[in-house]
Amino acid sequence: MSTTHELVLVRVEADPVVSVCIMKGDLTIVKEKVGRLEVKVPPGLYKVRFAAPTVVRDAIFEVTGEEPVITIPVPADVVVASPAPLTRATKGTDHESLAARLSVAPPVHLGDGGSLFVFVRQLPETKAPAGHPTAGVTLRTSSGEQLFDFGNLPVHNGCAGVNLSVAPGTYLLRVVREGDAAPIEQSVVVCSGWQTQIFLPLGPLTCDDPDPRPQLEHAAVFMADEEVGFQPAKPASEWTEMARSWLARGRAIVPIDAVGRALDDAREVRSLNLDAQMVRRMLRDKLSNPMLGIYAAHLMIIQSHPDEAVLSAVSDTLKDLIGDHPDVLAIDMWLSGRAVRTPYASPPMLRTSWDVLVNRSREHDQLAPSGSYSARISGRLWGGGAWLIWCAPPAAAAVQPQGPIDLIALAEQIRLFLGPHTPVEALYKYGRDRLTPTEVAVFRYIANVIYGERYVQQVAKDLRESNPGHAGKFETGLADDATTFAHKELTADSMLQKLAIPAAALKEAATTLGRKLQARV
Amino acid sequence: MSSEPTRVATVAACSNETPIVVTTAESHGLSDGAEVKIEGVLGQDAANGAFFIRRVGDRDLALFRDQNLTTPVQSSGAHTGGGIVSLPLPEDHALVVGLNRYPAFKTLRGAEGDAVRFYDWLISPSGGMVAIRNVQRILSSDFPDADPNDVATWRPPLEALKLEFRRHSDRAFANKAKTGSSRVGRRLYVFLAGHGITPARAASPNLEDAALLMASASAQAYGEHLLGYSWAEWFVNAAAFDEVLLFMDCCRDVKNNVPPIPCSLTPLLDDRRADVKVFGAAATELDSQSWEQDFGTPAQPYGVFSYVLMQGLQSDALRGEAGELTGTRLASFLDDELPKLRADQRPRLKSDITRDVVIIRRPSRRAANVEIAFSPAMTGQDVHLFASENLTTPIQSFRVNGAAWQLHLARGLYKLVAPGGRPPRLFEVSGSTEVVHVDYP
Repeated sequence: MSTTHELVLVRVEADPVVSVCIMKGDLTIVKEKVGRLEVKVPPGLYKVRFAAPTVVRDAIFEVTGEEPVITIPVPADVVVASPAPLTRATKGTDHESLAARLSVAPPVHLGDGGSLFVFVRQLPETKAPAGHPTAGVTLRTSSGEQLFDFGNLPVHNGCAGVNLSVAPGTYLLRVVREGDAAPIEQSVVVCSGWQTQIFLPLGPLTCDDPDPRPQLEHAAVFMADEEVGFQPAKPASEWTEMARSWLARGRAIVPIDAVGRALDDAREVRSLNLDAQMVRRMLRDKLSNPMLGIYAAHLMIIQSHPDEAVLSAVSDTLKDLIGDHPDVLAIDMWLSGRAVRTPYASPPMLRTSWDVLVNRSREHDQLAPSGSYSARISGRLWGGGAWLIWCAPPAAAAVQPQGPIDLIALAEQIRLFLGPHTPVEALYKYGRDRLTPTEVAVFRYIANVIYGERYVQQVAKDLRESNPGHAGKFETGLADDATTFAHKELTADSMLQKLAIPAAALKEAATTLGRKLQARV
Repeated sequence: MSSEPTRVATVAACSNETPIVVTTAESHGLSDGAEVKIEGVLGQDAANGAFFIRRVGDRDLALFRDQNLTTPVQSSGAHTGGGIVSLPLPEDHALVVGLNRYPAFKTLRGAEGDAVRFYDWLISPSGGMVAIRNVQRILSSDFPDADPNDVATWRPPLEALKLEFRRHSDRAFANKAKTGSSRVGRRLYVFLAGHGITPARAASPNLEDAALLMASASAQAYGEHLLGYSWAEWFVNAAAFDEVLLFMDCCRDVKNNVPPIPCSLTPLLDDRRADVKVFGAAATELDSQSWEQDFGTPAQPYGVFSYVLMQGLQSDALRGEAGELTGTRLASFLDDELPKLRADQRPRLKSDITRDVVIIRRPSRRAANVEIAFSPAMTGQDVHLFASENLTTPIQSFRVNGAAWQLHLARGLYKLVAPGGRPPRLFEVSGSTEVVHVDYP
């Protein structure tokens, strides 16, 4: 005799970074979750949607009530498209075995303590570059001196890779561009005892530079035990890539189950009361890809109201695991109540970290001190994706002495230059090339505020003239509002947030811009 | 002000001549140059649509395409019955932009067509019912060919769109000064299609920042962009309209170091701003592309987002029993349907169920939207159709007779069952205007 269940448990065992959504018969959402999902529903028709960053799959199923639990299978093709040759998504090439082999090949020795594996890959859908796939790609110190040129690596089936032994720290990966365009760069962090793995796809950098080059903005980045190297079949590698892809899209799809399991593991290790070295060793065994934790934390940061206790635990675990990684310290900086410890002489890897850094520089302007590489890239950010990428800055100039910023005085100088012109016209009238990118940003920001204020003042004047007998309270109020609004916009805080330039760099640019305008007058 | 159009009269007859003269059953009370919307006319199909009229008599109207009454509507046949004459919704306004031609970028194929189709829906009696004179339509092909070496000929530039918004913002300022209320109208539609970016100074750009690149933009001048949400937000804060609907079909690649050029107007804050209803739909997520694709027969290029949007706006199945297409219902449809056509494109939607916009309210025509074909072996068998909410009592049954079963179903999930141990067939009616074909078994 059969039993009809009023509520049936529907279970979906998706990967921890796959978004799962159950919809009922009228296609409204019953439950949405990342990773494993369970929901009790009455008998009826339902639809499940599996979403990875570049794949969506739907399936309709019936809940009859005859079974108390039903499990919905996940389609095999819900995988992530990645520049890393991950087994499930890589078909018909030997790229995965090549990358795995090269990642543990005897390293080129540049230092001791950590390693860096760089692999450039021609994807099946992209055309071959005219020259060497890694021509113009170099590794540099955090201050810009060249350490290694990737342009002479052997090429196998459209791919080239190398394992480098380096000292722990922050490095720059630089890619030259067509013609006289400034090269682009991003930070690469190597931690003690870990291998940082960078996978770069070949593709056009911009519409007007169509020859395929290594695309920094689409880089897949993993960390692994340096003796183990790249493991293309490991599910965690795929999850890590999905997390990066969600972060690049600004979608807060947090692998909360994976985070919970990792934190449980970490708690278990810590409960053994071992010394720090032993804790780190045991954590390494359990948490084999710290980048997943870093991405997860940054996905939480872009949530509306992340759980600060969880975020704090993730940060502590990552520090136990890999030490003071700048993108982990950025999590600390984001958390209210945590001390800001480290000046960022070099920029972090992730764009979300940069955002945090800029915001916190309001109270701590030495976070990106004047003259540091972090300050020098201000106004030079480039591209999109999850990574902070910038156009390489020119050689460092002497740090200019800075006083307090008098933005009102600077605005008056710019007002003189504006005259009847638009901000862009005024900029060209002055000579855009004479200004640094940060100065241009400050000039345009202030000029736009003045321009908007002037427009509203004109509207108020027109209204007064068209209603001569009218008391004109509104018109006067409108003109006053415009001035108040402009003053509110012309504050260092407002500029810093809107221009995403750290406080010290902003002060320096405002000071030097004022001097240049003064000299021109 | 009501969202219901004002009904003028029913159609008693239509002449089979050019221009078509419509005879109304009651006195219409209209004068030369008035705009009307006519729907439901049978036989004389050309009499359905949005027109300007010349008054021929108390009950007779001659139909013209233009406000100057110089382009008569040509007859398409004899009237066989039906028809209603209504007035457009006078307080609804729209700005529709479609840019295919970009001297500095790849020419697009679908943006102008998408804008034209949206415009047609806006002014249509079965669509937005917006007065033609209240819709500003800007297409790149409206301008002379650009000289690639002279940026001054790359049109329209950003200033052209700012001026279109100024039509409304200047009225808001003036109304505020004269009456204390900045209200301009009931609804503002903004539809923008073309190349696009997400300009970003901040490391993590605002998720809503989608910017239409103007024809004057180039890789060196990405500043020539219009931030849709920023301008829409101005009208929301000013409460210049009771409802603001924004649709943006353009890419959202993040361009760092491109300062977002926000709405340049000083905020006009109105106490009623919290009551303004907003619906926003960007074609794609942050830092991803909005694609074009060919659809239909003969194949025509569309923006995939615009294609799905038009499916939703025109769908009967999406309107439900009350005949209402709401913002949340359209958002759910876009979110569900778009990834089916492009897995790598998901819309970014802004819709508030607590202050839902009723986009249109029209009775559903209940045309067949599902066609079920059976194998010949099933002829003579009874097939039962179940809706999700009740899997024990069929909502309809059908005896297989060699022909396909055609029926009208609302958006949702369904189950077909036949006797004889055949496995049931589950299917979805998404609510698009395309007919769902189901083969059973």
